[in-house]
Amino acid sequence: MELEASFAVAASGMRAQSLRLRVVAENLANADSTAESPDADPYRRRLVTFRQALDRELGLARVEVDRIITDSTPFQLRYEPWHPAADKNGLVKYPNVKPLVELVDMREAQRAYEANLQTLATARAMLRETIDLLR
Amino acid sequence: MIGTSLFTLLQARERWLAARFATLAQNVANADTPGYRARDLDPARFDRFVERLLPPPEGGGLRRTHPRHLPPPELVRTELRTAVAEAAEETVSGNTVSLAEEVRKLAEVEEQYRLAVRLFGKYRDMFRTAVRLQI
Repeated sequence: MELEASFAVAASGMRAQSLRLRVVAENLANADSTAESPDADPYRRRLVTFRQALDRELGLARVEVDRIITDSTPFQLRYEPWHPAADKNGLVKYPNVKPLVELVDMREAQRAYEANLQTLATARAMLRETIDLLR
Repeated sequence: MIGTSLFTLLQARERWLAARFATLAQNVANADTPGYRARDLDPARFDRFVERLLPPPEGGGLRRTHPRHLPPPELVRTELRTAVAEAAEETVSGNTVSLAEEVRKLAEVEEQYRLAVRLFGKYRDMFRTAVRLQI
């Protein structure tokens, strides 16, 4: 039935958005994760890409996480000569994570998650309306 | 009989609204999918949808004479869902879903669905009254 199909579609949106939130959390947690030696790279910021996946049984396009890609923007350099990962000029490579960008992404994921949750709640209320006919 | 056709009509209305709801749920789930175009059902095709649900006229239409024949195609799945809604905005990634617009439409569908279900219930109550009078 179509309303149950809406449940599945909204749930797929929630699943995709929560994975996006997980990756944001990873980025924020590793915002200062440097490498242990000068020649190694620090943590690289990760991103989630979405794609639509046609569910033939439902006849609807669910959303899926396509893949998790890495951000190729250059690392930030800081002058910290005492750091074990400092090169001969005393510069340390820090992750290319910008907390402000991550926070905005987090908000967006939250908003999209809530929209899906609201869709689910509405579908439930509509189904309940039909079930109440039995009384 | 006119009575049964009103039941059929309300049933058609409910199914159509549920199909529209599922399409909108799909839009909400794909609010961040690159290249996704927002979809909607075309209200102008509702009459064709009802025609499919009504029993075919006497002697007309195709009949299933064997249980292994293919059932008549479901209009919701194929024809109706193809309509692409007019885009109010488009992001850089080619996505045309506007969450505010989708939420507005979802609320609209919920109200219409509620109306159809309640009417169905009321109409059934009228039948009940008639049956009680006979006893």
